[in-house]
Amino acid sequence: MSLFIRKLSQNNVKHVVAKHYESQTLIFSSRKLSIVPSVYDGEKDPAPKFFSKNVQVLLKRLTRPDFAKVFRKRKNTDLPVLRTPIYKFLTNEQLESEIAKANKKADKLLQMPPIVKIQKPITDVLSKDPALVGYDTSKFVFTDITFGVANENRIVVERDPDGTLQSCDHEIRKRLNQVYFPIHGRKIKEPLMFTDTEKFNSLLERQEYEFILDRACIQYEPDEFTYQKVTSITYQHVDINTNYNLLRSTRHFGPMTFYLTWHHNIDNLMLELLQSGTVREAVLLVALRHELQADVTNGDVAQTIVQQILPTPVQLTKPDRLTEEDIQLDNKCVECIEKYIVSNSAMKSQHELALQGFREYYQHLIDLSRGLQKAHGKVSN
Amino acid sequence: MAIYNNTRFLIKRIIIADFRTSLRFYSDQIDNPSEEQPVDPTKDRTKIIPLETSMRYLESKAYKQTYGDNPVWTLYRRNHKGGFPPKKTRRSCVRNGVISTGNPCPICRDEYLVLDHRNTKLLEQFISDYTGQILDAYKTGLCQKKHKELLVAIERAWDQGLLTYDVPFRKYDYSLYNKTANN
Repeated sequence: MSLFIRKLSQNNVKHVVAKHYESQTLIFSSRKLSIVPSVYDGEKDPAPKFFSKNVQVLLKRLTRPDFAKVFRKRKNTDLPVLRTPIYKFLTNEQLESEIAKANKKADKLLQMPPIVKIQKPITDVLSKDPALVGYDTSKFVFTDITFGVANENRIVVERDPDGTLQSCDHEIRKRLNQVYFPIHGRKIKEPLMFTDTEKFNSLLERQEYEFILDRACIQYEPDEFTYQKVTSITYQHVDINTNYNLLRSTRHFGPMTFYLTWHHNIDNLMLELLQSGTVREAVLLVALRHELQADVTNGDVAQTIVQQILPTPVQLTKPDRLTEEDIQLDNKCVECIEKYIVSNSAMKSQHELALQGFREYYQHLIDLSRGLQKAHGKVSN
Repeated sequence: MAIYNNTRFLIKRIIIADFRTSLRFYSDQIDNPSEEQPVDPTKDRTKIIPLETSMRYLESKAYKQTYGDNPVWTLYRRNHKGGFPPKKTRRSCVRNGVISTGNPCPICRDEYLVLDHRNTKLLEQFISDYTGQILDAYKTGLCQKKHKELLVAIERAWDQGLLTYDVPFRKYDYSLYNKTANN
């Protein structure tokens, strides 16, 4: 009898444990799905901020463009024959001009998708002709297909069966624009990967962020609700899983940073920057926050440091040697970040820990480079 | 008169036939060969293989042993006369549920390769590594029927995001969006 009871209890315990696990997994999965998209639909318009020169420069610098990734081999050229690379001997001047060309090309490839306020529905009635009531059972849509007019400015009007002539709404405009002036890669019917949440989530799980965002750019206009919904979910997914490196050196990193800053959510990104030891970019992020939200106490200091940071080359890898100017600049950055953490950070302890880790690492680096200089006989003092 | 003749002829035939069967002393197996000849199980394609099986097969050891790391079509060679293969491959390898050719195409010859949009591991073997385009049947040797199925499956997979590709670049004209700065 006792044995039986023991068995029962064992079974029950198993059952309870199993149930417990189930509830845990349920919570976990629901947490993944519970990303609430937030779009730019408030009172404030993000466009003037986004297009302002300061913000553009900051966002481009935060992208940390690595040319190996920017100019990676793409398979969308539609060339029937692949071109072989050309190897040349160049003089210094030629080389410089080639580098300048490459920079320009990279700048074009890294053009950020614009961030604008969500569009308002178009409802302007041009005329009402009661004489046309019942002329036909379906409505007529008229499109002005004059050459050289941008898709956004094209005249598209519809005549309803009840005789009213009005401008078409965005959806119809988009469809007709696509019919007459097709954008390469856009589908008239929305791809299933955007409409089916299950498929969309599986893409997020596989971390195909760049593909999602690229395709959203092609499929939707930047001021569409669906575009902003899709991108916002993707950005938040990147943010939660700290997969920033997947978006670095792509055109989408800037908009993501802008999105996170706009929605007061930069702590994760800041932590990642501090942990990876790029204090300068952390200062850039503080300056960006000051630019957009103007709630940073030492924002002005950050902005002055930014002016010093911008001429320096992008740090793709950790530096192995430091000059005295570098050390000065980095120390300034560290001080600025310290103040920021005290006054504005929401994850103070973690940020402080990360910064402390950076300080120790940096001290080690300073000692090493000064020792090296001494060993080479170049004593600066 | 004609009807009479015909019926008489028929009756005679029946009677003769009856007569013949009654007089038979040997086995009748050789006489009607059309009746249900057993199909070679390796050539039978009436059985529908579920997709899950196919996906498991692509991960399996047997698959690895058969194809190695190569795409399934690498070792396939088309049979043709002359030095140049015809532009088009054959219409279909399977007729009436049975393989009707001695050299079926890479998909038809292995019944566990199922073309479906979810079977991405198979589909990506038919997409060029260099251009991202779908390989031609001339190159892969697929029969026309399977090639068409392949095109549909890949298009579906692209649409649903099961297969990713390099999306064409879109250049934005900032002046269209930056309205506030201009005014």
